Amino acid sequence: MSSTGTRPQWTAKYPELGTEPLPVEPNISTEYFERERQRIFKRCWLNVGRLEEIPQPGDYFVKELAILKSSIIVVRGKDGAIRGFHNVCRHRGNKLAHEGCGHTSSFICGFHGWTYDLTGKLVRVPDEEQFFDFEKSEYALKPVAIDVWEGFVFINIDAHPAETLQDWMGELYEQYLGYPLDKFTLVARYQATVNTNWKVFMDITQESYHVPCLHKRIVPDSNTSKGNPFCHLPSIRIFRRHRASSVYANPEHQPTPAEAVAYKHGMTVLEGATGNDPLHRSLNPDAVSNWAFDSNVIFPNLILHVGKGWYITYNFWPLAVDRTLLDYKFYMTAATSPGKKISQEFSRVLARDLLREDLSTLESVQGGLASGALREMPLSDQEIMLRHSYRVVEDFIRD
Amino acid sequence: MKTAPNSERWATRYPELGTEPLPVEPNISPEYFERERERIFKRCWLNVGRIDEIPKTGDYFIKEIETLRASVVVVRGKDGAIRGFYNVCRHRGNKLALENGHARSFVCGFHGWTYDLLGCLVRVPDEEQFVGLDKTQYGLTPVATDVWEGFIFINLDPNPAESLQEFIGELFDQFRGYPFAAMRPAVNYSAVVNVNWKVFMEIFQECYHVAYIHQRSVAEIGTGKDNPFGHLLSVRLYRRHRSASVYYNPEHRPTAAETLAFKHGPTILQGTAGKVLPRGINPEGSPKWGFEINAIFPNFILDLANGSYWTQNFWPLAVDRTSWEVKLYLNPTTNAGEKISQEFSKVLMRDAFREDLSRLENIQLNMASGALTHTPLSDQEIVVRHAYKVVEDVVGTSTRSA
Repeated sequence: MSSTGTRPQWTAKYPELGTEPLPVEPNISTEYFERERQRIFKRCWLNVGRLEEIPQPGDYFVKELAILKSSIIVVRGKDGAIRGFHNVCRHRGNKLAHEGCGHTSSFICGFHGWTYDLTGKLVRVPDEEQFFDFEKSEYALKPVAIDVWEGFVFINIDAHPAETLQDWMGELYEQYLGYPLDKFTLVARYQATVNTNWKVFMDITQESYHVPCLHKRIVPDSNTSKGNPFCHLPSIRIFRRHRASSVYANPEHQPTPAEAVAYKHGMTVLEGATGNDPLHRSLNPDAVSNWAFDSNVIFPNLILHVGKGWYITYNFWPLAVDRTLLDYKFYMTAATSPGKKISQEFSRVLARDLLREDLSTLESVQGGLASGALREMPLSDQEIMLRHSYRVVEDFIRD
Repeated sequence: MKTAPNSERWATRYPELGTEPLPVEPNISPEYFERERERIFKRCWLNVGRIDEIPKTGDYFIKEIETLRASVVVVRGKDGAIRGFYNVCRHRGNKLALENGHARSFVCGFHGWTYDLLGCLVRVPDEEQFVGLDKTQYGLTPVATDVWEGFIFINLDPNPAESLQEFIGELFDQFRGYPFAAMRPAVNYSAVVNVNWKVFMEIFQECYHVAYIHQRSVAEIGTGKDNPFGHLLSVRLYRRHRSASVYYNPEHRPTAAETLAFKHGPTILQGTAGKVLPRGINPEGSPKWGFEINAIFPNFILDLANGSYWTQNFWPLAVDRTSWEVKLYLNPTTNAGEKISQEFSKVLMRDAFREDLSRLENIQLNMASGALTHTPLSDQEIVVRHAYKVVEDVVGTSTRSA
């Protein structure tokens, strides 16, 4: 597999994705967006957090999901099991818990005091005798399908999900088996509401053609080289709905002075496979040389970058056809010394700045697509993941 | 010929405009506004600037036209011609130019696609990764652009129904010879006001309000003993545009500051001062002429005086929200005294504009309140009547008539 090939190879490998320009309509049509809401977000497994956020029985978090017009409670029960419920009191519909996380032994509605235990069972109704023919057992919290993959908690708002989470994860299901994602610590979390379509937002994290242009000031030589000036992806793996790639690292990257200091006693976010330790078998599955990190795009709205000693999750939450909330979390292995802490800080800031540069294009792009100036977008062979992304969406929308 | 106030009613000259009150609905209906967007703003020639703003090859400016959700770049090419393009990269739709400036080419900051000043796609980094990409098919999307008297107009209709000359129509050669090119921008003001664009434009087309709103600033200039209500000297209603000559009180008594300011320079309202002006300016040849209002459909007002002119552009953002820009142009100054006199003119004009703007949001709120369904109009407000009629002719029918 060549990282420096000059002939289009990916569209040849996946001929079913074609080579023609893609229509812009799916990114600007409100009608298309409504169908995405109904046929994708209301039916698919959606990542809402990680197990480490609720380690103890009674720990819970609340996720507001505007795309589903729903609020969900995810709670760990006394039995250690994770459960999901609609955050809605069964009496008059009031919200039980506010957004964020917490710890509780029960959920008490602030309106009339109805109380539910951690399994969702209605356990107390103040002034119960004033209700007629009332069976508390019939008024438990409404459950939401919930399951866990490698510590990532997924919910499915469909009352009868068509697939299990395992089936849904498909080709990626075993990718991180044995990889200690649960041992990493959250180093930074950023949220941004951007006036752009959720797919346009995700596009930018699925191609590296923009790296030598948009990121030329921040990573001038980390992911490009004389032999690979356009940051060609050395591996692209197209699955049924998901897809993954491995990103190129320049082995001759020259650290800036600040970077050299930062990494004197720690690990770099860009060190790729060049360190001394052998890579875990979950990483760099195609064994490409000059590997930087893997990027997994888990349909519909989760992107998981996994590098050596770090990983990043992007959750893209559509708010409207032209408005999306990004929830970005950066995890690294725990810093065990001040030197490692400094190196983490450098990585955190570098990743943040790259994210900000990515974000700087999004509202412009959405405006350009909506202006009527263009009907379609020509895509490079290196942008094949976008082709697949729009194809998978289209398949759901048109079925 | 209308030389004395009250000698003839404008309604008699333009009977087709009627005399009945006008409905407020066009100013408050979101549905009406959407039709204005589609049938007027997407099809008409719109002024976006002047050629003086981009004098040299490679000079360009960007115009964000929020009404149409479009960003347009207007650039002067190597051949000296002015061209307009959607400010949108043909690859993934990113915005090309982010601020006004000078360029030899436009380079998209996303993946580096590069366009020359003609809009041709001249460089695609890593081009061989595109399958069957014909660069000639991916030039910037052009926007119809033309120039009248140095004013740059664009039209976002891919096939404009009329040339700019046809669109400007009766006004096309009325100002020939006016020294637009010799005059210099003196000051710009802009504001976003919660008012319908038509209500905003009304206030700059009639002078019935001068004696009241402007009683502390320019009322004494715009009214006189022989014309206490500032009647217009002349009204000319065209197919879509309209013009009016504004009265100037020759017995105006300058304040002390004004006297000082104009000791060494011309005043903003000096009448014709004996000058022969182009035929579209003070066509009645009145000695009491102040300036000429020209409302160019749909959203451009060009006010012409002797030694000064000012433009106003009204950009609708929503049915009840409008972005407004005013630019004052004056003769270049040659000494400090003239500079001081210009400063006085700028401030006087600013204060009068502020008085105008102070009423607009209340008017919009009251129209939307349901308190009134119609507004009665004076004969002096016939320009307003005409303005609504022109909009209604385009928007109020199902056929295309713009």
